[in-house]
Amino acid sequence: MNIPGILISVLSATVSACNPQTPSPPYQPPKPSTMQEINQFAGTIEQIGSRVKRLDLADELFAETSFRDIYENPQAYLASASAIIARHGVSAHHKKIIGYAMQQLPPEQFVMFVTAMTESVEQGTTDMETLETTVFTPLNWGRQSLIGHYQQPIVQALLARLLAMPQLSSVNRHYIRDDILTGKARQDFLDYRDMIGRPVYE
Amino acid sequence: MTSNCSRPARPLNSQAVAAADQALYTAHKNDPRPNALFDAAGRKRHLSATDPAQECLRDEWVRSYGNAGGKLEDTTFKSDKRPGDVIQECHCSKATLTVTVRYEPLDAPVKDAAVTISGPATKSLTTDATGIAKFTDLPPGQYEITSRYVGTNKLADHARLQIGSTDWARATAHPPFPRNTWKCNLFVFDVTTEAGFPVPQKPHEQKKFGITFGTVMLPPNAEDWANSSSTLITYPTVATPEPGDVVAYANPAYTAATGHVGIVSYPKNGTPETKTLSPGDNGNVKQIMRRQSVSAGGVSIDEDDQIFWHYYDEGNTVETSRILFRRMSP
Repeated sequence: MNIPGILISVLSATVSACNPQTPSPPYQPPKPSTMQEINQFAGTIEQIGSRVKRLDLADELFAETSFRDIYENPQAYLASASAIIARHGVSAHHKKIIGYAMQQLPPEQFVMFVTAMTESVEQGTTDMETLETTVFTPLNWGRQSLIGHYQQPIVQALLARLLAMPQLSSVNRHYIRDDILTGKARQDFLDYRDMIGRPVYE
Repeated sequence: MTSNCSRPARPLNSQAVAAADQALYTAHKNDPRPNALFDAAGRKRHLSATDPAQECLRDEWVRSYGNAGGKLEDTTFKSDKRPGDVIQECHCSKATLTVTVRYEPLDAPVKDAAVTISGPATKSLTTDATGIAKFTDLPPGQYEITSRYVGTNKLADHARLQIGSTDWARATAHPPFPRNTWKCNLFVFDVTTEAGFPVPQKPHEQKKFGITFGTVMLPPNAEDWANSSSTLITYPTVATPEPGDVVAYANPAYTAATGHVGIVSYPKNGTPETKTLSPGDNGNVKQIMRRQSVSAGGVSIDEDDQIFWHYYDEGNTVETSRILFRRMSP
């Protein structure tokens, strides 16, 4: 193991000692949703969106019980969420809410979800701002899988794909290059969670 | 008009009528507009014996008519008065208008709102502690009523100076907070300190590899501000906010969520209204001023009438029960 690798392992152990952790559930491919499930999920998102009209303070979403239900158990909704993201005619507001709701997905599934959203952007069914909102949520949100697991090949591949997108904002382009891929964002994330007394989930 | 008022004798003297008309328009050409004689664009309004807005001008017109050589009826002995009674001057019936200015949401009177009425007369008054401005001795007619907040508060002023700033933006690193983090508490800490209201900080041990290597001082977070029994922040809590108070809510319902904290700002202007006053009326008008706050949002420092306040609009008692106001006083 190289030196940074050792440091990360030690750091992970330190984080484990400092913060309560929830072990990642084993990866399970999402079960395909029925049309009824997808429509039901879309209805729930629409209701949340009608009550939380602005997302500039996204933490207000946590005031919604139905949002918290999805956020705490995103795997159950991943297939429906991916299906709606791929749809034309769903507002950016609703797609952003879905993006926020998926933040607790285990790393592999989060990468899968962001990949699906990236494809949707490339196909013109989702806007870039929605994708950036989903990828760069505030550090108190979710697992921050792309930051925490930036060294994993599937994450690196996804980050490279994002960097190759001409629509990516320069702010977030720099963030990926200078902060995420250097490990600075990971350290910031761990320090920040510790600072605000919030747990880190691997 | 009482029976004691002088009236032009019939038939009217057309030259004196024209002169009296001219004299009236000339005498009032510089009055604030719109009024009973001129519209807002300065066009003359037609003189009418039945327009209540012009009632208070009639005596003035009759005097001008007499001065211009028009003959007046002597009403002194045609009335029910007896010889020797004091003849009252001819007065039109004036009106009063009471304007009440209230906050929305969290209904309360707005002190220090400048209320302006424009119409047959133009006047301005500032509301008292009960939110009331009372206008008396008003010529009847249609008035436009406007209101704007003119009170001042040092902390609100400091906070408002930062509107549009991105120094506390989510995407900006502002030590000790890294990029992509909420910094509403840092904004409140910075402006309260700058305005001369000291706020204590919390020591936080920084660790790497399990070893403490330093201590950083952290500003109180939204949860500290919203905790009524906080030992860290001792500024008193209040039920009815005023500009310059700190407003905060915690979000204990969910561990991932942070709360939010900001400064109560000045309210929005009241929506202009019109009111027609008839002679002798004692009219009432209510002006609503929408509450606002200044806080660090995702992109910049914003003044806003929704953040914090929308929970009151929606009647969301769960969330409003988590909102706390603190009065910053020396």
